[in-house]
Amino acid sequence: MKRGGLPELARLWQEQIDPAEQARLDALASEIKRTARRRGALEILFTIIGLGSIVFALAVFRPRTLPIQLGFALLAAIMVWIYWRRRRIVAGAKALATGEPDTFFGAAIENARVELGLSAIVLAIFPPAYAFLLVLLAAASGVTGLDRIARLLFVEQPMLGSLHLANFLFFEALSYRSYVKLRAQLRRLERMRREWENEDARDRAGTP
Amino acid sequence: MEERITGNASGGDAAGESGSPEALFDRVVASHTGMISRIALAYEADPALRRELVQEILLAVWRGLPRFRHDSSLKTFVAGIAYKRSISHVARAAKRPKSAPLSEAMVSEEPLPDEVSSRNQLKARLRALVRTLPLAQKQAIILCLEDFSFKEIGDTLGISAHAAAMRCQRAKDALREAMENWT
Repeated sequence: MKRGGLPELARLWQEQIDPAEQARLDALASEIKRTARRRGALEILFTIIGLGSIVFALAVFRPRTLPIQLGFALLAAIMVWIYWRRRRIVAGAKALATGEPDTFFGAAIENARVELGLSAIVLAIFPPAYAFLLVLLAAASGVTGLDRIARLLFVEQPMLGSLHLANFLFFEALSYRSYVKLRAQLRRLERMRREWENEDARDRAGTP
Repeated sequence: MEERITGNASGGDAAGESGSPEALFDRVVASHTGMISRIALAYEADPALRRELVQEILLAVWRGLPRFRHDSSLKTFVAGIAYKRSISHVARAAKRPKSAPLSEAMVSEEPLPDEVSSRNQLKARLRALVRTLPLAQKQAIILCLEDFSFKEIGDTLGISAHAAAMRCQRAKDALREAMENWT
């Protein structure tokens, strides 16, 4: 089958990138191997920092009673699970680029749905998890009872209470922003798939 | 008969080409960065974001080359990654690529100074028009403009060569009409 001739448009198209920008992009390309290695090293570093932080926190607070130890272990397990799920989603997103072209939209939408689901879980569990963390931290310091903890944070040490509140609001806002962006991403992918399917229907019908 | 087109955009690599992933990547850098840049150009108008997109495409190519099975040309493999990464980029981006009516697209996109040549204006016009095409037509016409055969376009997009030809024809008609109306 012959390609329909559009040589003038093709020439025009292939002149789109000016030499200066092309030189910048060539330089970028020659750096890619190093960039890939740097990103791989950063991923490992972040994993070590994340897991190290959990171990460090447990070592610092040295929870003595079993319920508090179990509480910290539960929070640590949730964090590790979220991290593991997130890594799988990122790996899935990376694999999309080399997947089969005819299943691309289906796989991309599925991956986006899973990511949105995880984001919704994080958004929902962060408030109780943070409150639970505060209770555990207080209990590890010998302060028990919700009224005692509330008095400690908002009366005796208001700076500490404000810091925790700001910390909580900041991360919850980040989670909400991420959720909204992912929802919009999913909608865009679904719209693009519909566009693709409409074109496919035109191909099948032989519509010019 | 299948037409195989080679040239400055295609790089001329053939199916069955061998080499380590590293050597193949060097070939990509030597022969296909222009094509990658132009594919990114069709999806992202902002120069800084476009550079990011090109970097993401190149990273995906680097990671994907160990899975290159040599049952298609390197050019087709790279183009497939470029278009999929571009779609992911558009889906993630806060704003969609310019898809305003054609006259608006010309006004809003990179206003050209008076002294810029008419050829540059034509190039900008073509760029703006390509961005306004429906996604499936845009994918096909970009590869068509990159001198891919219909078979290669079909392989890259996961459609038949016949469907690729139809999409290119629809996109070409839209482009020609818009370009003629402008001049």
